[in-house]
Amino acid sequence: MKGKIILTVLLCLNVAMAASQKFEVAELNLGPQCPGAADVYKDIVSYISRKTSLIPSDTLPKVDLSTDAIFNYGMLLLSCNLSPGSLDYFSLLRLRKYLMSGGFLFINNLSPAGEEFDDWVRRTANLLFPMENIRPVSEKHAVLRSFFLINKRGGRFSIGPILESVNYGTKSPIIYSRNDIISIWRKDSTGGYLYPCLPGGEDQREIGKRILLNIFIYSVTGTYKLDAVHQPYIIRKMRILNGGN
Amino acid sequence: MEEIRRVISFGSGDFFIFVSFIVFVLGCGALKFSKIPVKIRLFRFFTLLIFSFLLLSPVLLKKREISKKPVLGLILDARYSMHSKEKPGTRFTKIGVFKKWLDSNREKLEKKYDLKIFYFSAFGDEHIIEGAKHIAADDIYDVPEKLIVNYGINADKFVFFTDGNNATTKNFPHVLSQFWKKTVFVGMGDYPEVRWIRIEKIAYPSFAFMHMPVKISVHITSRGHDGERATLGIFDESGGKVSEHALELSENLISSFTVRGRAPGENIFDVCVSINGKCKDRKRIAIDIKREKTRVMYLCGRPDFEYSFLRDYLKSRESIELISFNILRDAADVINARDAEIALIPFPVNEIFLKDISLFDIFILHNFDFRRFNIGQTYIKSLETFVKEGASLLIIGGNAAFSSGGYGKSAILANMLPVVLSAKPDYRDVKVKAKPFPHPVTGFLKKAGYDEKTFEKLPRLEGVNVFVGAKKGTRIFLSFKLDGQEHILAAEKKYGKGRIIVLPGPSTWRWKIKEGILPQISGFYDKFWQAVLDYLTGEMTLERVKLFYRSDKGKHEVCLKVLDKFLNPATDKSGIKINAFAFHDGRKEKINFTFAKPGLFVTEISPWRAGKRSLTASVYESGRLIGRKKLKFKFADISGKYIPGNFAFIASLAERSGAKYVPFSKFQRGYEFQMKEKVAEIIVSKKDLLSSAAFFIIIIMLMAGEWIVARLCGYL
Repeated sequence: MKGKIILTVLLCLNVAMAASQKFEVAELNLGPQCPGAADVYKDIVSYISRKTSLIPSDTLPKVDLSTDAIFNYGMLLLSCNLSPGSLDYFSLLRLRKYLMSGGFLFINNLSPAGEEFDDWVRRTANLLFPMENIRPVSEKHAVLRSFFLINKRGGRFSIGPILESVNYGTKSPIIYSRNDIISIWRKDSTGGYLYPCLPGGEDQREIGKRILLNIFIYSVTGTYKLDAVHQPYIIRKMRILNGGN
Repeated sequence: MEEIRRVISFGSGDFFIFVSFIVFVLGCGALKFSKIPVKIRLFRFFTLLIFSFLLLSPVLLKKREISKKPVLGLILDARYSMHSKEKPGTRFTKIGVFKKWLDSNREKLEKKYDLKIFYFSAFGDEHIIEGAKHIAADDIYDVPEKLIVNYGINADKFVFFTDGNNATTKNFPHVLSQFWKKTVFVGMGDYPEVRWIRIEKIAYPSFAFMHMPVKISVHITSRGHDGERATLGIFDESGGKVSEHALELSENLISSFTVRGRAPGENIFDVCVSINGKCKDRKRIAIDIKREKTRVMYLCGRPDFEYSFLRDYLKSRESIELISFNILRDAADVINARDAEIALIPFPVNEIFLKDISLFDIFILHNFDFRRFNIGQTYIKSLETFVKEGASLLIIGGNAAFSSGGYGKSAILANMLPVVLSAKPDYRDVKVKAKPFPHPVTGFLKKAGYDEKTFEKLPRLEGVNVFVGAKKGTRIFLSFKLDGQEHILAAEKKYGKGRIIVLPGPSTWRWKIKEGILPQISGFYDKFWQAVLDYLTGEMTLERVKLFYRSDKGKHEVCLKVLDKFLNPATDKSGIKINAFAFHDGRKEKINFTFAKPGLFVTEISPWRAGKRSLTASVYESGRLIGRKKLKFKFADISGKYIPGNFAFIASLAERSGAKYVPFSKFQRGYEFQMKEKVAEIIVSKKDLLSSAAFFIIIIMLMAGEWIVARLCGYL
């Protein structure tokens, strides 16, 4: 018992110390069609920090594709409700080089009927990786088991697959959510959630939060959870999870 | 009276035979169509015939038959074990016994035979037998060819005096089968009353993978020990017992062991068969232990991009087998989910630090705070033992590593580190630029095209543990400047048989991601980590020439590893020239290395005469010296020892080659070589017909006769 108390104290100290080595994410600035996630980012960080050993930075700086600033970040976030317009050749080239050098991009579709942005995502992904299509992630994809085991859709909507991805080598440098897992964090002035999650309600919101957390963890662990050492545990848990549904 | 035979022989070459034929055919044609009288044509025909005949340079030989002594070739094996005693309790060596036998039989043999005496060994020793010629051969199979090529001798019978040791590993050469068929092998030291026990052969793989079991089969032969109890033991290089079997001896016995390679490279094992604790025969084997894959344990205390990028790199290398653990949650985290909803597994601390640690070659600790997991000194001690025994440890910094991770509080850990830690938490959120220092890692990078200028282009690392300084013996290969002072960014030190590298800056991923916009540093990240890991496993070498001894399936070889100017294994087309010499007894002999495979040149040796020996090799690439290496040997004086012969090998060789095998005990009692005197013809006289007066007169007479007939016929 004494040991556990000491360990807990040490862990708290450790978390405090760890504040100086943070996980920095930037948001792609592609114009007013992409309001982003800056307003909810602190809640996201708080959620991730409470549940995992990952400590994201509180701030979500904006970077645009006209400079090389994206290369200072390991992960980029892009959340839009409308098409931000076609990217110019140099922006596309820069983004492609970033992703091919190990960078990671999470794209969130904010719009319930967001066909326009959805088209933009597919078109842009195809320009970035002409040999690869954006496609739904398989149930064995590492992003669905990087922290939580995810087996159903989450987010504000339940329109598209759980997640979609573009694969390059053994990793997926682009992960795309059609179900809006950013707006689920928005709150009104009374502290209640601004948007309902349809049709699943709060369960769907929680799953959406978990999916976002998984995406953050996936960006820093890659296919770690596909290592053989994890498989017996994960398969057993998946059986329980699927059997419970 | 001896009979004399007369024979005409022709001395002209092919050209004159042709000319003679053409002259005769053309002459006959001309005569046929000629309108001169037949009588004259007859004269001209005979003249033509004689002229054509003389063009063939006819020689008249007178021959007489004589009898000749058959040639007997005595060939003594003068290699290492022949200098040992022929049997226990005697003062004579096997060579000594041969000399004794020769001295007492030489006169008798010389009367009956044309005696030729040879001895073979790697290097000549002119004092070994008076009047004997040396055959420079290390292998019994090479003797016939060298004998015939060097001395042009093909005797009617050859007698090999050998104990059969240093048996060849080559396949039997069928090309000189006629030589072997007229050979008698005499087994030196083969006495029926002598009891012996010997390790005949050890079968083992020439290489094996680390950590994997290796089967070694030992073939023991003995005489006069049937039913006795013996012990067969296998020992490591330091004499430590690896395994032991009790045996009941019989003439032929095979016993097997299973051993494991402990470290990459040549692993030496001594196999000894003993009776009542006394080793009766000992043989040494070397197994080249290779890493099938470098096994890496990567333990990360907290996920970050450094982990993600480095893990991707490690996974991309086929030669690396990676097991990684990343601590994704803290004990204080509140997950609010059922266990089945979380993809986390328990942290197997016992398995990692105690049970399975020896299976790894490299342990990477990344931003790992032992206190966070209540990992005590037992585990750290196990990590220390792991490194001391030859494995490697790489510690990547972070805000939970080094002083910020309380490493200084563990005396063992603090002692292991190549750096001195500060008393206070040392992680600082600063941007630093890497500066290289001369070291094999940076040397490798330089060879790969990443020099000081590349380092200037590298993006700054963000966040670093700042050390107080380096310990004695530490080699720094990267540094950074902070507050006007140089600090360690990468350093390494030997610890026991292993090595420890510290990299306090956990953001080398920034080098990788910026390769996208900085073509000058393209590929740097992968090469940097390749260099670090290869250095840790000992696989990195900047030395282009390496000379070493190895034993491969009973063959004793001296090998030269040679890298070309791009550090790739040199091929036989790389313009490599090797000048190698062996030095023994104040003499120098040239040694020929042959190309075995890319990067490897080999020469086979068998033990030479007792004493200190050395071998030097100078390697040139396109005429430029790229390395000179020396290897020293010592062969023990065995003249006072008894080394049983390998009579089974000789008997089997005799059987395969159509030769005969006779034990020396039987041979010395008198052996009939069953060779009869040969009959040979000698030339008594030789007469060149071209210059003979008889032919001159015949031609003159023919010409005169033709003139007379022509006159009578009214032609003149």
